[in-house]
Amino acid sequence: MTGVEGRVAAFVREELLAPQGRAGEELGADTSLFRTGIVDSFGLLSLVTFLEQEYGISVRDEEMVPENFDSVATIAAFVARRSAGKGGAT
Amino acid sequence: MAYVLSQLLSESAAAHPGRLAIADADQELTYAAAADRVARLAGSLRSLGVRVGDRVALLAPKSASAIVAIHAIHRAGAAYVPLDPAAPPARLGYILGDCGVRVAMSGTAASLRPSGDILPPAAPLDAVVVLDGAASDAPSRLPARRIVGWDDALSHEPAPEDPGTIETDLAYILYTSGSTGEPKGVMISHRNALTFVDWAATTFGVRPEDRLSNHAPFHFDLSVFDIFAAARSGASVHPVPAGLNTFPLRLGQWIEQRRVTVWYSVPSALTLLALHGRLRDRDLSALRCVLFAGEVFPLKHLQALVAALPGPGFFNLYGPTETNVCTYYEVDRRELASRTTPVPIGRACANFGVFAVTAEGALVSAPGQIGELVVRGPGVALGYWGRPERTARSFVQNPLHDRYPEITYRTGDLVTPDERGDWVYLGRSDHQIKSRGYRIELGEIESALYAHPGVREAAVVAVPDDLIGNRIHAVVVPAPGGPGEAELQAFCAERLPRYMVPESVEFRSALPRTLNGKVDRVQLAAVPR
Repeated sequence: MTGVEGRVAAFVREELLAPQGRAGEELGADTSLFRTGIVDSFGLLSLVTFLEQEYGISVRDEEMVPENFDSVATIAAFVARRSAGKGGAT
Repeated sequence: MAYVLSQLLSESAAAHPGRLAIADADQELTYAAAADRVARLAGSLRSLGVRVGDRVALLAPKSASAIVAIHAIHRAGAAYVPLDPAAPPARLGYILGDCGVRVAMSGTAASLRPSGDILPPAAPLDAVVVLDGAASDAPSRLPARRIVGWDDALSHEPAPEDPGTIETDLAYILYTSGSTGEPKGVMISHRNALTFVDWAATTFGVRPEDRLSNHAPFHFDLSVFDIFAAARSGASVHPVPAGLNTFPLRLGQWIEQRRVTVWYSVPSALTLLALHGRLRDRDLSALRCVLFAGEVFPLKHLQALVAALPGPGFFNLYGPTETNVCTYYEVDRRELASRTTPVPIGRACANFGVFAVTAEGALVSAPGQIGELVVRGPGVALGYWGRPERTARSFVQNPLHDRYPEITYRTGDLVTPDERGDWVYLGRSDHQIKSRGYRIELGEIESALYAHPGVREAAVVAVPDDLIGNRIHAVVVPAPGGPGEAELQAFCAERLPRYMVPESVEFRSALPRTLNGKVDRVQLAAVPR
């Protein structure tokens, strides 16, 4: 995992998996966060808040879609894109 | 006039055979097609031994076929027992055993997550019918002596039109959180359900042209409106795909694409739509009715939602599972903007009576007086499955008279009338809370925590939250070498549904007590982590 992936994975593990009693579950970079039910609509919002605070980006409503948020890897790629062209298009 | 729910679909199929009845991304069933499937599935269930009075479990994610299955269970004469596919196996096993389920209708192993352990009790069921799959696709967690694939069930001879069900037979059993540690099954008869469905379909003017969303899970009674008000009216019902819920933007697009005319959900789902669904970019001109129930709608979010949707009417529906909906309030758009308190729960629905009684037993008659809301009428449930003592505590003789037997339901909800005579919800008289619209007994979570050998004392409190109503916070006094937070959360997740697992656990050397020795919940709730 890259640095961003590691930090996102740690957040998912501590803030989303653990409160569901699923701290011991395997979480790979490509694990689907939605098909496994790890992230629901409220989890998505806390993920977005985490990314905004941690990486100083702002996530627009139209960017809150499965293409960007389905796995630790897609989230890290999204953060990389947004950090490269801050305020730019997706 | 229909007196059992299964007649609703049959009558609409006779009147509107070619109209759309049930639709999801995979299939669109007309009333004729749906009724044919329902009759054949019911025939298959009858051949597996299902009779009037039996309970048939439904373990499946939302789909058109799952709604067909619900109708088929009724057509076979049985009551359906909807199970939450995400609930822990121990809880599901408890429910199956508690109400003596022998036959289940289940989604395929692939459609159910987590694939999960075999459900106790270990004794296999008599039969499982697999929705949209072959017998070999059955989930291993539901062992059965006989497994019937979908195509086989659908090619069965149709069941007779009338299995012999009468209006006082059970239509469904919904399991809700129980304060003593185990869920309890609320028994709803056909008459109970039809009282609500008749009122709702009439009040909201549901017509064959309507397209109803089905957002709530089947184990949540909001879905009863979607499924049966549609069937009664010849309208169509559209189950919301599970994954879509997560993304407010996509959910808004789905409402637009499906041209939904009547939406019904918990407020928190609507709040997310209002905040992140970009509703102003959508063409939601088809939407004419937005209904919400299950929890208090935070005022500012309701105001934002109503401002974003100039077209539809908005209605606050109120009622515990034991009465489905018993009061309602139509939101006044102009008045809403200047409100400073949440909208009232309103007045009694047709064929329901409600009144409030103070702690001293006096009838509440003026604004400012506070009492417990009591509900009477044919919509009041039959009680809790197999629990006569628990039933007798909440289902009581009308406290206003003893001239003839009349069972009323004590809701435990504290209310007061406002100046216009609308009831206003104030809170609970016990430790029940709402989170994401789900009703939760804090005592059930405490029981789960106490089951851990490393827990000496435990108290669970609700921390109010603007978005989901309440967050669950546990305070635990551990034994030496006791468990950590993650271990306790995992322990709870094996026993409780996800929405009941404490979001945070705080460890203390002792629980704060009031002067008379009770756990000081006010102090606990005041210092969340």
